[in-house]
Parts: sequence; C-alpha cells; structure tokens
Amino acid sequence: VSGLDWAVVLVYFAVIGAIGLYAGRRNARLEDFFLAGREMPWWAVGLSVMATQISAITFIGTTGQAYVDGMRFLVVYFGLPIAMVILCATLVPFYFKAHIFTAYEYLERRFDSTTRTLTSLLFLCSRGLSVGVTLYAPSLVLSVVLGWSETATILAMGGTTVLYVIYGGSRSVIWTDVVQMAVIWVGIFVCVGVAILHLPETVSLRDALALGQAAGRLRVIDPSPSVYTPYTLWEGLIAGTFLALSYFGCDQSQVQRYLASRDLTQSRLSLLFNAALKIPMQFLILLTGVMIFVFYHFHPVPLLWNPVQLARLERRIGPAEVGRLQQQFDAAHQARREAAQAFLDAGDRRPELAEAYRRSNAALVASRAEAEAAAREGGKPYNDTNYIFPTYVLTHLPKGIAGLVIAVIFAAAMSTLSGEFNSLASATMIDFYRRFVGGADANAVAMSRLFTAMWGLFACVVALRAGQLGSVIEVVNRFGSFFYGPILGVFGLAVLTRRATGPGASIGLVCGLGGVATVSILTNVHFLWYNVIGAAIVFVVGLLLSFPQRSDASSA
Amino acid sequence: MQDPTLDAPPPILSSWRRVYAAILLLEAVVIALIALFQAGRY
Repeated sequence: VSGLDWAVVLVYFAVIGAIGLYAGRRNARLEDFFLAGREMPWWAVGLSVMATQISAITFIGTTGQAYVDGMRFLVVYFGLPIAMVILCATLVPFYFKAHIFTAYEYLERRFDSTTRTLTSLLFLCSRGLSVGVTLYAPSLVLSVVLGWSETATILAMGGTTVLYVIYGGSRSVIWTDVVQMAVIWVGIFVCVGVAILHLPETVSLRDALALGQAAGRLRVIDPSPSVYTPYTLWEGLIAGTFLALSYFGCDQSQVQRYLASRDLTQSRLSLLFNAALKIPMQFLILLTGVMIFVFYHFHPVPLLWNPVQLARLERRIGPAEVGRLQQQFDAAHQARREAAQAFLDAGDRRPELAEAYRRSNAALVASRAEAEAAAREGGKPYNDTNYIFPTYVLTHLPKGIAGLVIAVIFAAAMSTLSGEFNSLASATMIDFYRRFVGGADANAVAMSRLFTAMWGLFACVVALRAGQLGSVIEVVNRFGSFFYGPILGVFGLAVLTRRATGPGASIGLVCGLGGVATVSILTNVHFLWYNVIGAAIVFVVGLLLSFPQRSDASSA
Repeated sequence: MQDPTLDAPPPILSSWRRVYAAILLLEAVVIALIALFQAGRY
C-alpha cells in the first residue's frame, strides 16, 4: 500500500468525520436526534437506505462469491423491487399516519404493548448481536491484507462511526451515508473499469464474458422449483420478496431512515429509488468478481488467498510441502491459461474447446483442494472467498485507486454500522427507556447519546472478542436469519387483517420462531425460504388464535 | 388499545399506481436482460 493510498484513506476519514460533525449540529429534541427533524429529502434518505443495506462483507463477500461460484447470488435481490412497491402501498402510509419513532411503536397502537415489547426486543437481540459481526468481518479481512492489528481496524471503523453517531444522531448518519454511498458508487465503477482494462490486450470484454460464461460464472437464473437448491429464480422472487419486506419494512435500522423523510411522498420516492437501482448495482459488483476471475487466468494466483493462513500452513507442513503444492497448482494454472487461450483463439466458441477449458478449470480447483484440506483448522473447512477482492485490489490496482477501494470497504462498513447504532439506540430509548423509566426531553437526547455509546462499545467488544467467540458468532448469525420471517408475519397481521389481536400476534410470533427453528434443524430447505415459512406460520397461527378472542369481545 | 384509524389502508392514488407499475415493469425488463446476458447475448 503506497503513501498515496494512505492519503486517500485519510482524506476519506477526514471528510466523513467533518460531515458527521457538521451535519449533526442541531439536536435539541428526540425527533432531531433519531429522525433528523423529519425534514430529509428523498434522495438523501434513498442513498442512506442503500448505504445501510450494503455492508462491507456484502461488497467483498459477493465479489469473492462471483469469482468462485458465479453471479447467481444476484437473485436474492430480485424480490427487492416487489417488496418496495408493496411497502410503499401498505406499511409506509401507516407509519406516517401513526407519526412514530420506531416500527414497533406502530404495533402497540395496532395491537398492544406486549407485541411492541416482544418485537422490539427481538430486534435488539438480533441486530445487537449482528452489529458485532458487521464490524468484525471486514476488520478481520482488512487487518490481514493491510497488515494492521485487528484492534486497529475495529477501532478505526467502529470508533469513528460511533463518535459521529453519538454527536450528530440521525442527521449525521444520513449525510455521511450519502457521501459514503457516493464513494461506493465511484468505487464500483472504478473496480469494473479497472478489471476490464487490466485484461490482456488480446482479450476483449466479449472474450472475458465468453470465458465467464463457459466457466458458468454468468449463470444467474436457475428455474429449478426445488426449495433445497440455493438461489433459484423462485427463491429470489418469492423468498427474496419476503426477506426485503421484513428488512425494509420491519427492521428499525431501515424504517428509521425513511421515517426521517419530509413527508410520505418523499419516503416512498426514497424506497422506489432503491427499487430501481439495487439490482443493477449488485449486478455490477458481481460482474467485478467475474472480471477478476477472468483476470486471474492471465496473472499468477496465490495458492491460498489468505496470507496469514498460508504462513500458518507453511509452519505446520513445512515450506517444502507448500512449495510442492504451489508447483502443482501453478502447472494447473498454466494448463488452464492455455485452454482458455485456445478457446478464445478459435473465435467461434467451439463446444469441445469450451469443454476442454472447463476440464482445465476443474483441474485447477482440484489441485487447490489439497492445499485447502491441509489448511483446515479445528475441523472447520477452509474458506478464503472474502480475501479474493482485497488481494486483487492491493496487488494489482494502481496507486491511489487501491486507496480509494480500501476507502470503499470502510465506507460500506461504516454506513451500515452508523444506521445500526442509531436504530439500536432509538429502539432502546423509545420502546424501553421512555416507556418504563421516562424523563424530560432534554435528558432524553443525552440518554439517547448514552445508549448509542453503549451499543457502540458493545459492538467493539463483541468484535474484539470475536476471535475467541468463534462458533458463538456463527450460531448468532444463524439465529439472526430466523427472526425476519416471523416479525414480518406480525406486521402482516397488523396491516392486512382487521381481526388479528395482540395476544394472537404475540403467540403467533413465538410459534413462528419455533417453526423456523424446527424447519432449519429437520430439513435442508435453503435459508431464504425461512422468511416465507416464518411469516406464514405467524400469520396463520395469529389469525386462528384471534378468532375466539374477537368473538368473546363482541359477545361480551 | 387498538386505534381504529390504523385499521384500513389509505387509498392508493392512481398516479402512484402508475409509478408502481413502472417499477415492476422495469424489474421485468432488467430480469429479461439478465436472462439474455446469461444466454450469451452481450
């Protein structure tokens, strides 16, 4: 990493810090601190919604995913525009009419205080625990590739973010998100552009895409009806819609963003802005991964993408054995390069040459498998997908551009963290502290700052300890995916039915969580479908349990 | 206590309906383009 790269990263931090402090000057009331005074324009809110959603690990993880597996992950976003339209037509108008701070506050007005407490608590548990992972995952990757300590990356990301969120609240979150999203967009175009420009002179963009296609990396749409096959078209359209409905409609980290809009129209526009741009944006990110995949046909590939693991492997099995594995791998890489060149030189994309190329690609994967097996630690399979993109950036991008992309990774992480800190503080303050403890409004802002600091500290501690927590983090992540569907079911009961009652919704929610846990333990249904299953169980159970109560109420 | 005013969704204005239809149409076009891309029409 050159001095110019560090200068770019420093400028990024200085600009974000300055905007965070400048934007968040006026915070007299809770409405200022949590909802930016309800005066934000749609485009700022729209960019903030987008920035909160795209985390660093989505950025570096999905490019790596496209490299090793192709672009099929894109279908996860197919449901997003549908969900945005449904939300704009249903839930968002309710929120504005109810003039609320948190999504769960609406549930108290519609049902009862128990339902509000339960859903808000679920949000705090799931989001509170995942915020540590949101901080830890990119910190780990950056610390490995930059050679920093994990503590330094965690404090740079988490510390800076929590400071401007404590000071400026929602205004700081939204305006820094706008800049961070601009940095991310510039970074995406630069990455795609540089990856294309880096192809050898003899390889055109069409050739690169043809190689990607021959290797199955351009496969997005899989029409298989199986619920066990990951990322099918139907999973994207149906389960993806449920996931997006829950995340954008019922998760405080997103709802709080668009509640800061000036009015309902601005709020709707901010969501529809995301509906229009999200799939193309994710397409470009995944395409970058495919271009990097093609790029590495013509440049040396490291045996393992994680240099720390490679060094450990060398210590464990000896440099001679690693050298042998590397030699074997290099030979397979050379064979793949020749097969790829033969496929491209023929010009007419002959099937037999495509087949020979695919075989050479499979041979390369197989030759790497030996090193991966040797790198297994503690019975866990070795996975270095997240290191592909940062390694490419740091070893092949020009000076200054590499710094820009590192800033993009920081921006993606910090924009998600800021929204999460702010929303965790708002749910703690509005759904718990203000209801059960109370306090004057002037103290309320101070208390909200304290809650933001507490959640920031909690995230940093979880991230700093994540190395030791290991499997606990995995369990937390796994359980996190259980909550989306059931919470959506409760909001579905609130909006779509007149009959549903609070106790029905609360018991339905518990049944939904149990149902999803059971399905995950007993079946191999792909996890996105949990959103549909959870929402359906809560909706049906909640409605059935509400019938007798309603009849009792009407006969009394 | 349930707030009866929150029971019924507000009517969707016809202009919004057109916007929603445009967004869904745009998505259909994007998915169709992705299908063509996947099939090698780039």
